[in-house]
Amino acid sequence: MQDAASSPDIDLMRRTAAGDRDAFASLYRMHHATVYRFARLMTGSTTTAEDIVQEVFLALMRDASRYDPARASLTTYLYGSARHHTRRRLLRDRFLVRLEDQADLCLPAASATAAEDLIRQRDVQHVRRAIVRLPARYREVIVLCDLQDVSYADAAQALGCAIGTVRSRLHRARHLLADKLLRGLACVDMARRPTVRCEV
Amino acid sequence: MKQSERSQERLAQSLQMLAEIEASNETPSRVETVVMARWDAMQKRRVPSRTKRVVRVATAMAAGITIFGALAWHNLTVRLKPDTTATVRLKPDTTATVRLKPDTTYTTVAVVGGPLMADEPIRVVRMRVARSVLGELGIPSPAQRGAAPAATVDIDVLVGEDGVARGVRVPINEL
Repeated sequence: MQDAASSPDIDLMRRTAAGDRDAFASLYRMHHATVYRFARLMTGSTTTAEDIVQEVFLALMRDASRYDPARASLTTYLYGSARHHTRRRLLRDRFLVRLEDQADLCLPAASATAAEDLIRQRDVQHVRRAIVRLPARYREVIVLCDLQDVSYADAAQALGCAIGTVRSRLHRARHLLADKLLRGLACVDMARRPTVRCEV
Repeated sequence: MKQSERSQERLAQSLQMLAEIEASNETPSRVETVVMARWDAMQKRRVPSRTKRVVRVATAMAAGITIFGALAWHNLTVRLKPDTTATVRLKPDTTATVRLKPDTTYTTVAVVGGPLMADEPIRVVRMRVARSVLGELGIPSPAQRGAAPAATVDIDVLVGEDGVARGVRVPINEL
């Protein structure tokens, strides 16, 4: 828990509950990116992540008076809310076939050469897809602890489980992810192999 | 180095890379526009909802006062003083059970609606009325004859199917 960081949040939440528009706008600007990145990594879709950001902040403006700073920091509270909305959204859309989200594939060109960029893009795409294919309980811990740098204690609070559970899930999630990446790369290599005709 | 260690190392590098890429991602500004528009809409709705709440509370209080007043008035009319007269409208389907005293002999005096028919179904409503009412109905009472009268007398009103009183039955010993 970050007390120093959460104290302005408490004040902003109190003012938001009283109907202060500027306080709510400040809260949004401080925390929207956190929620957006979490939702984007969890769903693998930019548009769905945008919807989830909206839903989370709409819920926040409705229930601002119910927030109890003694129970959790606002960031943890928002992670919990984002997780809830993400799960609900994924459950609702489970029978839909998602088209490839082109925004996910566009990566900033940071490397020195084009070849390095391509390799980097391919690796990141594989990781992203492998994360999205993980079961939700493993995906959550990977996204929170490995990609969002959330502490185990905060992650446990956001997920509503014990710290030991977060540790064990993370260990299992990393193994599953490594396995998926290995298999994914193997499939890519197999696909690249030239076809050979054998005469019998 | 084992294959699993290599894959874990590669995974850590990939995750690091992904985290760096994701850190540069920001929510599009249109989301903020939508969220703030929803905030404004919600704040506009809040004001009438408070008014509505006040109106609801006021309506509930008014209804409560009305019901309480009606009940109080009903109790007042039911517990009438013995010398008070009241007009009672009987519903056509109202039934009443009257227990007649076994040693009481009654006389019947037709007051309205003509004589009672032989097969006409009637209902009997027992009422406690002031003795002076008997005089108004043309029945001589002890008060008129100079005897010490009781303040009230129990009479039976005979009501026809149309709800109109056909007659009044008074115990003979009250006459």
